[in-house]
Amino acid sequence: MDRTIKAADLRPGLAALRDKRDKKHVKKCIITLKRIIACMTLPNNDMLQLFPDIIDLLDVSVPEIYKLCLLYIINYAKNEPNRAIEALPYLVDGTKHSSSITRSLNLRTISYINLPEYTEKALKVIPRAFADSDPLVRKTAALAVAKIWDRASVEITNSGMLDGLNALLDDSNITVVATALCSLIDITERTDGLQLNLDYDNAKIAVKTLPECNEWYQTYVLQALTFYVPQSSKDASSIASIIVPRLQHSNTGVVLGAVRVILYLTRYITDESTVHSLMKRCGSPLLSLLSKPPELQYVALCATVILIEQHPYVFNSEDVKLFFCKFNDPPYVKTTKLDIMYTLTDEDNYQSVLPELKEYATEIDHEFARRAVRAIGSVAIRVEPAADRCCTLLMELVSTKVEYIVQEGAIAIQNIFRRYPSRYESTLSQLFQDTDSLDDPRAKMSLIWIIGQYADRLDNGCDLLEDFLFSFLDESLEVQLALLTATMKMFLFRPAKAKDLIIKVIKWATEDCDHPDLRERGYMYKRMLTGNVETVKKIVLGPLPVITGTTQKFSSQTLDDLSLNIGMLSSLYLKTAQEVFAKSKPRKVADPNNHNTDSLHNLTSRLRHDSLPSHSDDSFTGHGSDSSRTPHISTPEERSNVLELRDVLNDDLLGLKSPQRSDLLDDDDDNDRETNQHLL
Amino acid sequence: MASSIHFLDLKGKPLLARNYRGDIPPSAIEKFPQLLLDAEDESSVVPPCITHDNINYLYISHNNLYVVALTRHNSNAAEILLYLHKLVEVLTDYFKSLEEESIRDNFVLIYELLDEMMDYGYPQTTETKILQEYITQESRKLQDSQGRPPIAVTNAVSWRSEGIRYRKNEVFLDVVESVNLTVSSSGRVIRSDILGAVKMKCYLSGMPELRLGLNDKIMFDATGRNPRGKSVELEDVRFHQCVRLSRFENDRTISFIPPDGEFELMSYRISSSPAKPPIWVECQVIMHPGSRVEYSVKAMSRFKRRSTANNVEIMIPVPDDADSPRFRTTVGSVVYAPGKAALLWKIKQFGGGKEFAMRAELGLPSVKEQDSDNKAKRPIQVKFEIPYYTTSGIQVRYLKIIEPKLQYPSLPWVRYITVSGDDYTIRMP
Repeated sequence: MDRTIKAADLRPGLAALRDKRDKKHVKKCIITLKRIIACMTLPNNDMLQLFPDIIDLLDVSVPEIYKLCLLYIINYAKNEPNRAIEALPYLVDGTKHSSSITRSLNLRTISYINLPEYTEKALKVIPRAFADSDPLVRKTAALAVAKIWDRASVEITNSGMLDGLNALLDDSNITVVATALCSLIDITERTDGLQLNLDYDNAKIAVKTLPECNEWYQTYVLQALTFYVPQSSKDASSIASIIVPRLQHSNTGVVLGAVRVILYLTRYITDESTVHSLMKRCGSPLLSLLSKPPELQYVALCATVILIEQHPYVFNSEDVKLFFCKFNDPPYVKTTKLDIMYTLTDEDNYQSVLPELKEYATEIDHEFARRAVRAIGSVAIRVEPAADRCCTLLMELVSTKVEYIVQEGAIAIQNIFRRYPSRYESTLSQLFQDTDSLDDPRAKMSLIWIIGQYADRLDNGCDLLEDFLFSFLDESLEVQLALLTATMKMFLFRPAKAKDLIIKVIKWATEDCDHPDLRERGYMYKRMLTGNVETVKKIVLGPLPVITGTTQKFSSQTLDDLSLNIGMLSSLYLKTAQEVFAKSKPRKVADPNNHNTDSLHNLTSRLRHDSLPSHSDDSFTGHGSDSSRTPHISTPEERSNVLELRDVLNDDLLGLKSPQRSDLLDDDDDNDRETNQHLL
Repeated sequence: MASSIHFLDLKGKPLLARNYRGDIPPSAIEKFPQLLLDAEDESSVVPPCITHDNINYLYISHNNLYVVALTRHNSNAAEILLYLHKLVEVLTDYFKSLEEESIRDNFVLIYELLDEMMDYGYPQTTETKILQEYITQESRKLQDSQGRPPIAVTNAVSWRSEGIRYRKNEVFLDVVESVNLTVSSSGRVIRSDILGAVKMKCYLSGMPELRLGLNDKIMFDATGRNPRGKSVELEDVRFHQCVRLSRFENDRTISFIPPDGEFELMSYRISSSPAKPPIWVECQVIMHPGSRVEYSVKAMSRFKRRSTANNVEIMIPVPDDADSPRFRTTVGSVVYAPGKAALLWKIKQFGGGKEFAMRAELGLPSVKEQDSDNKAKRPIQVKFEIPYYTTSGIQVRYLKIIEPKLQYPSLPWVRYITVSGDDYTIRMP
């Protein structure tokens, strides 16, 4: 593309055809137009001045020229609204053209351009297009309604266009039906008070269209099916069984859409074994998506994370191997696979998982290696038979002296010690070889905590502690607090040896440090030291709450929301839709037992009668009328109350139930709390 | 649904864009390169979607391009990301290769395709064959015909047009099995699986009905038929959209009206019964820090004697500061590729049941590079292809072709080949 090209130089190329109306200029004109289109991507708006010339070309009846002119108008309509309006009559004429491609093209363009005059015309043209003989035009018209909805929702509602759109759901052509559904979802999803609502018959018709839809339309139909509220367990399972074959589609969107709907429907299925077998069917397709391009793998992996939290049995124990990382996987795939591997680790497969985790722990990517170490620690906590192997592995890793490995390793080991008290203390001494190199406060805290907690069993505990205390005044607050508490514990275990130490540390804490927390804890210990030793022991060395491992990552409400959004954007962030998208409509699975069965008959909703208020429905003002007719779907207000924003537990998914990183502080807090009570 | 689609060069400079919904300002895409950089700075884990200012950027990279979709809504991410890949596929079909150059040369055509393949952010027709019928470089067809779209655009059979004619009706079936393998540094198979694909080239007239029969264990078991020879348990099968999935669900019949030309009919995965790895490699390394490093590599073929693996390539990673390589091998050739920091051992033909060896020695600088322990660990990678052979033993039993109206004779051809998958690796000791 020639960047120095000027609009003025191009004008003659267009004018030649206009002035002479001679066929031999057509080719030249097309070439010129193509150059203009190419120049539109340049940041300067030089081509804008050609607008009048372009309008002049609209009545040249050469389809290709017309098409190129439309591309120009679409691009520049915003910059020159008045000029764009001049083009409108041609476009409106075009919607009556004999060629359906042309009709569709014009309709698409009219509805696309966001100018009041265009919208006004679109309102006139669309109803006619609903009745067009060619399904292509009807399909285009269906989406055109969604396009102008934001600009003309009142007019659309009042003119009965929504009825027309609903009527397209009965169209003889499946593509038109699917597009109409798609358009309806698009409209209802961004409009308060409108709710798409399918009954069993609608749903049944919808699923039956699936085999005949093109792959993309299948994803729209599947999307629509999550708006179907089954009235009985039987209904839900019969719809689900028709969807199951979709799991074998090669289109990732269709597969994940099917998983989403099946997962949704299982909420309404009371028979456990049916749910079980349905979910089992979802596992294998997800595994196969792992051979797709990495971006799609990622979507599938996020779906897997959600699925296994709800239905841990979806995969067989040996399936975990399929989540082992390939050496050339991008980091985001590796990390998510690691999370899944960790979750799927159980008594039967830990033997193959752990060596793999160890491999990852020595990878060059620090962040990934850290996660791997953390995962080993978490496996130890959760899968008891694996604890021995994990402990050995962690010790090996710690002995590599690689700083960040030692840091994570120490934290993991600390948790293991807490989970299995007095089982692995024999390994303690190995841990404290060459600790000088540590500089991460969290790692230091872990090691210091271990020294204090197991002071009675560490023969050289005092020396170790002294090494750490050497730099007490330069440490960060949390390390100082940890040191203070550890020294106190050490003193209680070995009063003779640690007497000097505790005096020194308390003096530092109360006299040389500024931070109130540290000072107060120092004073507290100081005062306690004057009391009865046994009582103090009870307080400072009190029993710790047991930690248990869990793979649970989400609160149940978050999980509910996530499973309704499998394959959607919010699932990639592993957050609820409302957290990511403030505007998104809250979704909730209605309680099937809560229906007023009497009203079911009134609810035999043809989609068009029930889902959208028609123009004659004088109560179309909001949710009031809607919800009164559809008792099983709560009003938006109610729903948003139910689905309050909730925190996802933590950003890295390998969390223990009591978050690892704050364990030390928690522990200290416990001590403090008890102490306070005592003092009071 | 996507609000807009953008093509950017590697530096993030916009090349071309199409805005579908107009709810995101055009300036939003200008932030993308910086957002990507920031995300990369913050963490090594950068997912294919970034969010900023309530705008979500979903992207893939292809050659020297980024293809980005923007959305404000909780859109279907699977659909958008897949669409981006399809878009690249279609444009590649049109221009042979998609890169900055071909975008600049084809602005108008790309605009037209973008307009046709997506409406209001929803993917529409993405079958190249169908699009080519009405969107062409010359746009001549538009004038010739009465301006009717190919019926397939709105038809239930959305992948094939009517009225296709061939003088000679032929079908070529390729059964391609990619074997993936990971071997631990201690020589244990960590995972091995087979990803199979049945690819077709269809040159058939009219609207033919095809039925494909495989030695599928589940079908044999279900029908109680006793197959001659081996049957194969396909763990997970997925099909091109032309295959009637409900029919397969009912009786495992694979029936379909094929698209015209080339396509992938189905893919399958076999992982439960780990097949014998066709090519096995063992490697011993003796390090003499500061002076040299020795490699002793053994490659073995573990398939039947009557088959032959072609173009076998074994890539052995070496330290990137190594120099003055020397090799000795019983077969094939060895080259040192300093750019990849690897030795490349190539064997043109590798018969079944054979074993070959290679020794190599490289010099190491006497001064040890700092943090040389901190290098990415790279495994040995193996590439090969074994024609007329499937690892799983899958077989095409029949391919029935019926065109009810034309009733022509037709010729199906079948080929089998096993190739190395993209992850056929042996970790270094």
